[in-house]
Formats: sequence, structure tokens, C-alpha cells
Amino acid sequence: MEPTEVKKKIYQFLEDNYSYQASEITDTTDLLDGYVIDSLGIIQIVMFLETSFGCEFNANDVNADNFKNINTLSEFVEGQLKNGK
Amino acid sequence: MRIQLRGAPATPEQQEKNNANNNYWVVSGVLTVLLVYAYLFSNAPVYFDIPSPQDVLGKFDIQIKNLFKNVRDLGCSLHIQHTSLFGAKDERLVLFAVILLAFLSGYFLPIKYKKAAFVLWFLLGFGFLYGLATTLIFLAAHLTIYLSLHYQNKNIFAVRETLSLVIFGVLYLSLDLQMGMLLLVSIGVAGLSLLILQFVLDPIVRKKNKWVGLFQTLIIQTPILFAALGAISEGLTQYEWTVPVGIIFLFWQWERLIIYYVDFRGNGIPDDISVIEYLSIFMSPATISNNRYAPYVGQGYSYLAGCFYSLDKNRIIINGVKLISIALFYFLFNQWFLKGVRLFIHSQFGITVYEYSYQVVRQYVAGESISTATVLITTFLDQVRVFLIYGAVTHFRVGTWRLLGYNMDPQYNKPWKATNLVSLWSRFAFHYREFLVRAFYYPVFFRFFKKRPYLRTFTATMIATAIGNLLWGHIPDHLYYRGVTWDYLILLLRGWPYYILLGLGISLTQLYLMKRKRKRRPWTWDRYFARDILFSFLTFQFFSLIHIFSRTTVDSTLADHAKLFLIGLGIHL
Repeated sequence: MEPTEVKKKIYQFLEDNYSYQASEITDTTDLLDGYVIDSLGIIQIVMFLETSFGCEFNANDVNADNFKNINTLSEFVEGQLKNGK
Repeated sequence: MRIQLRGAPATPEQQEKNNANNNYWVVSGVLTVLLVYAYLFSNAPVYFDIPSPQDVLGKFDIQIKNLFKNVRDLGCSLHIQHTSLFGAKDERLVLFAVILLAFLSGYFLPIKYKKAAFVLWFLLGFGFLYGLATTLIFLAAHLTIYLSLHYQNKNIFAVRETLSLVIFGVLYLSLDLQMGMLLLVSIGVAGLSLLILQFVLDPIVRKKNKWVGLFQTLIIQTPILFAALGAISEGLTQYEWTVPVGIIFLFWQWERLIIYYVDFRGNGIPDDISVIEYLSIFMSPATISNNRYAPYVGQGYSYLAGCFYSLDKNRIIINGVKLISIALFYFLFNQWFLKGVRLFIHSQFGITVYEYSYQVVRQYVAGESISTATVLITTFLDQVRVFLIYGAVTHFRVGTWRLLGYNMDPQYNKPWKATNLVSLWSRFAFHYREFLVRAFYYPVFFRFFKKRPYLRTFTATMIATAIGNLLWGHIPDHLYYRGVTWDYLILLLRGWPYYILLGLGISLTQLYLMKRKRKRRPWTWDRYFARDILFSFLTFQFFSLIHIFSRTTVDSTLADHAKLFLIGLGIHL
């Protein structure tokens, strides 16, 4: 899967669920610092990514490094897909 | 969940940069706010021979009913608990002095000495307030936990010797023996404890098998086990377990210990964490006051590491001053405001409003007729009372952490803006929610029902908000405070419907929010603004009303509470 496809899907998810904020979000917007995504949002993203790409998160994967911004999140998902998880 | 997701700790270079600018206006601001606290809530006016707040208001013939508890004391909920060496006003004076000294040390010392200074000021202040024996016992308890978890550190030997010395000191201060015998006993026990550490504790924790994990979990869960087993034992033998105050203080920190352990198990703590770094999490001047309320504020290692000097220190401290100033407002006016509202409702509408919800229960059990308005308004205002005290106390504590350079989230963040139960919990008790999420929600969510998103979310939420909240949150809290007895445990367990209703309310809200597309930010000034007000009111009223189940009394039955709940909904059976 092309990296851009993962990113596109994440953008689409944010557009669907956070439309009042999505226009402000770029690849490097800190998703955690300004409560762009709250704890419920994180769980929703986890479930969305798991069902969309078949990847699997464990508790340790939900950290500031992976969820910092759209770049880091898509890199994590792509890494998972490469490793066949 | 933000605890885990908060940004990584600032690098040493960033911390140095954030520590670089000294601003004497900021220092003056901190001094001013602490002096105001000392003037209003301590014996400072007496010691400095200046007119008290009461005297000043009296001169202008101003009387604010309920603001002053008595002639010399303001109605302040800022307490130092479990000590009676001094009066409340002198205890507060010591607290303010310790905070000030810790702030000044933290502000001007280089980064690497700051946390050691905080621990030192804590120990001095705590020792002054509770006495040396209690302080040493508290220290010994934490050193034992440090040794149990971080036995691989290269400096462990020094910590072990320190613990033996501390145990020696505890015995020396505690035992009423002749000097010669005392020394012999103390040296003997200290030596024995060293041997136990060397030949029992060390071998256990150094073995890398499941028993090590079990041993560490047992150590961390000691406070809960003490509460549960102590209450059962009291029921069987009528003998109530008691422990020294130093141990009670460790027990009060059970939630923080659990979060620390979650960090530890998730490899979130450096292997070479120093004993000072460890102690700074549990022994900060910000942890001295009001352990009855929100002892988990500050959370564990990863959260505190993530917010220490993560911004310019002046920005963090100014935010701390703001929070402490808001707390001052709450401390001063909460009782006065609530009593005024109750009197107004009674005089204008003739509705009986009680101060506490349990009074409604008692009156109902005694055969009084209770109206729907009385149930709704009393539970509502009782919850406002709790929120105002909670807001005051936790703002003060978070504000104090901020004065020490920790860019901490408020525990209490405008809960009246919550338009649903999920939001209310985040806004009312942010750090507590993080505790429940990390200790209960995550383990369930990432382990069970992975292919069924709604069931997965519902189960994790119920486990956290109903089970975790009751068994690991409220019960130990109340038992440490009131005494570890069977009857009291049963009294608390009888409030189970509250936890189930709360869990259901939050779970269903969460499922609803999962389905709904969020197109609008709440409290945007548009045609839906009135709906936000209505939802905010309904959320708070529901949260308040379900508390009628948790206000159990000796004589009340589940049926009484259920009937009162229904009366609150307008159904009179």
C-alpha cells in the first residue's frame, strides 16, 4: 500500500470525525498537544486503523511517538503493514 | 490517556533553555500569592502583629456570613491531615513556607539539583509537621519499594545501606527502651534488615521469573490488600488493623504507586532511575496538603517526566500562580455561595434543601415526605459543594506542582462546560480518569473483543468506571480515612448501583459519541448554544442524582435509595 493512501485515510477519518478542526490539521500538526484528539479520539483512531488496514495495536503502541502527528502515525501503520502485522 | 501520549520529556538542552531566564516579576508574583494565603489562612497576622482579615472587615463594618468559621479562622478547606502536632493555622503556615522555599530553590538552582531540593524541602517540612519517626517510616517504605523495583541499579548498595539506617532511626525514635538496650536492639534490627535485604529480598527480585513480577505486584498492591484483608479480619475478629502514620501516607499514594508501576511494566521508566528521581515523584511539597482529595494528582513517572520544564519556567509558574489564585477564590467563597443559594431557594420557593445528600436519605428513612424538587436540588447543590472544594484543593495542588516547574494539566477544568458524561469526567477529575484508563481501560481494551469494537469499548469502559472506580478508587480512599472495618466496607459496597449507573452512563455516551460525527465544537456561539446549556445541566443533574445511591446510611436499604432516585425522576411509588 502506498504511504499516501494511509495518510489519505487518516485525513478522511479526521474530516469525518473532527470536521471543525480538520481544516487546521497538517502532516506535522501535534495531534496531542492541543487536545486535537482526546482520549476517546485515540481509541477511535486505533479502531479505525485496525479495521481499515488489518493492523493491530497493543497498549505500548499507543504512545506519543506514534501519535504525535499524521506523519508519525502513518509511518507506524506502514511499518506494521510491512511487517505483516 | 494523554498521560501516555503527552510528548516525550524535554531534552536536557531544552530544559536548560527553559530554565535560562530569571524574571523577578514572576518571583514577586509567587511571593505575593503565598503571602496572601499566609495572611488569610494561617497565624501569620498574629506572629507579625498585624490586623487579621476579620479585624480589617470589622473596621469597615463588613460582615460576610459563613465566610468566617469563628472569630479567628476563615472557612478554609486546606488541611494537613493525620497530624496534631500544631493547630491547623500553624500547619498551613509551615506548608506555605515549604512551598516558598522549594519554589525559590527550584527557580534558581541548576536543573540537576532541582528535584533533590524538592525532596529535601518535603522531608524537612514533613518532618516538622509529622515528626521524625513518621517521616523516617514514610521514607523507609518508599526505599523498600524503590529497592523492589529498581534492584538492577548500580547504586543500589548505597540505597540498601540508607534503608537500614532509616530503619535504625525509626526504632531509635519509636521504642521506649533504656538507652543501652535501645542501641543494641536498633543495631540488631538494622543488621537483620540488611541481611534480609541481602539474602531474601535481593535473591527474589534478581530472579527473572514470574515470581518477581508477582512479588512486585504484591508490594505495589499492599495498600489495597491492607484495606481488603483488614476489613475482613476486623469483621471476623473485631480487631481493627492500624499502621503508623508514615505507612498510611504510603497507602494514600496507592493510585500514584499503581500508575508508577504501570509505567514500570511498560518500560516507561529508565533502568538507571536514581533514588532521588524516584522520591521526587512521591515526596514533593505539592503532595503534603489534602491527601483526602486527589492524591493521584501528579500521576507517575512518565507524566511528571513529560511535563518537567517542558516550557519556559516563567510560563509554567505564571500558570501556577493563576491556578492558585482561582483556588483562593474557591476556598474563600464556596460555603458562603452555597448557603446563600440554599437560603434563597428556601425563602423564594419554599423548597427544603439539605446541605448533604445523605440528610435526604436519613429524613426519608425516618418517614419524612420528600419532594422531587428537594431530591434534585439537594443532590445538585451537594455535588456543587463537592466540586467547589475539589476545585479549590486540586487547583492548589496542581498550582504548586507548576510553581516547581511541572507543566501539569489541571485536575479540575471547568466541569460546568461538560455537555456529556465522558466530558464531565475528563473535566472534573482528569488525573483520576488517567489512572483508571491506564490501570483498567487499556489492559481490557487491548486484550479482549478485538473484533467487536462496540463490545470492546463498552467492556473496557465498564471495567474502568464501575469496577476500578469502586474497588481501587473509592473504597480504599474511604477506608484509610474512616478506619478499616467490615461494617464500613459493607456500607460502601452497598453503594454499588451508583457505580453501575455511572459506568452505564459513560459507556453508552461513549458508544453514542463513536457513532456520531462531530461537526461542531460545543459552546460555539450559534443556534445550538442553548442546547449546550441544557445538555450541560442535564449531565450534571444526572451525575448528581445517581449519587443518592452512594450516600448509604446504617438504616437505609437499597429500596430506599431506589425510591429516592425515582422521586428525583418525578415517580412517587
